[in-house]
Amino acid sequence: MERFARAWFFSLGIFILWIAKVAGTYLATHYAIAIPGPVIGMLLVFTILTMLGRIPKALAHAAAPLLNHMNLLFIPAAVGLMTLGTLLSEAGVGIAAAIILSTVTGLWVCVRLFAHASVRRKSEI
Amino acid sequence: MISATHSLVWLIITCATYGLMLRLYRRAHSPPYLHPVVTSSVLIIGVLTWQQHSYSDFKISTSLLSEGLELATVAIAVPLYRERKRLATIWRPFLIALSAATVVNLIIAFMVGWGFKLNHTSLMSVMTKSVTTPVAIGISDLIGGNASLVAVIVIATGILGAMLGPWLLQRWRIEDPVAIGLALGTLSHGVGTARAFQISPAAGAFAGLSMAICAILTSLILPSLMSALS
Repeated sequence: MERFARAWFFSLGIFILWIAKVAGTYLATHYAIAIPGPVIGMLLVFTILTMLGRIPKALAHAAAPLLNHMNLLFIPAAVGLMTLGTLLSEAGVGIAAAIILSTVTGLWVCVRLFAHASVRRKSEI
Repeated sequence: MISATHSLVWLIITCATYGLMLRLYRRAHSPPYLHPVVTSSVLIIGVLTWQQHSYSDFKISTSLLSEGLELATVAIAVPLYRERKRLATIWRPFLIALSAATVVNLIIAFMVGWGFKLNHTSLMSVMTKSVTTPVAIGISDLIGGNASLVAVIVIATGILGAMLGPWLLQRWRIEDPVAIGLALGTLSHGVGTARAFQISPAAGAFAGLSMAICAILTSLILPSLMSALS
């Protein structure tokens, strides 16, 4: 019985997420907003949750497995690497260098500035 | 045309490979080089090559997973809502660090790529590196990148950030889950967010938010930045 209830909540939650995604995509294309549909959908759900003041059981049940296994959902794109052999043998080193240097510098700037700005903010209060 | 059962077989192979690789990753105490996206993709590329199966067919067979990724993006609203109180207190330093890191990231990527004399298409594809895949492809259409190269660059950036990020942050003595989430989400979008969720739900929620804001910010500034630089 409990299993059945869980499956029902999960499916209902997935359906709610799907509706939000479709609504987000509609808004993005209809009003030519340069933000992807799913991101607008996320903001929509966040707004609704804030208005409701609680998280419906169905949403909580659907969100947990999706977020815990997000890595599975990236595999199809990562396998695309197999189609780029010739291109990467020419430009691969440059591309890799650009990715590594900018990512590491970006991480450093991000955490340093956040720590710095947080401390200053605290001392102002 | 590919048959439905054929599609289902590739979908099952992908999920089963992921399941096994996740167990391996956890059993070995999560070393970066065993990141399940890396190990699973390598194995699947091997099987596809061995079976002489084309990538485009594989992509159609696993389109359910890409659909799931969009739903997972929407689902980030749930942990974000749980963190709303913390968000209200830190939004200013959060936004300052996020915007500065995004701009620095773009400029360094451009300079290094330019220094290595990448051609225009490759350089433009590199510029979208830290934005979540669907947005990155949209931006690359605007500035003149190559969609399949963009998809691989974005995933590679994500995996790099997810592998190196937590290790670097530990060495820099960053323990605040907000800072960890912010850095991983801003620099390595969804893959970084997935990694942040393994660290703590709070880190994951802030990573998801950073991923969204970084995507919005980059789609607003990158096209004009590119016309200014070139």
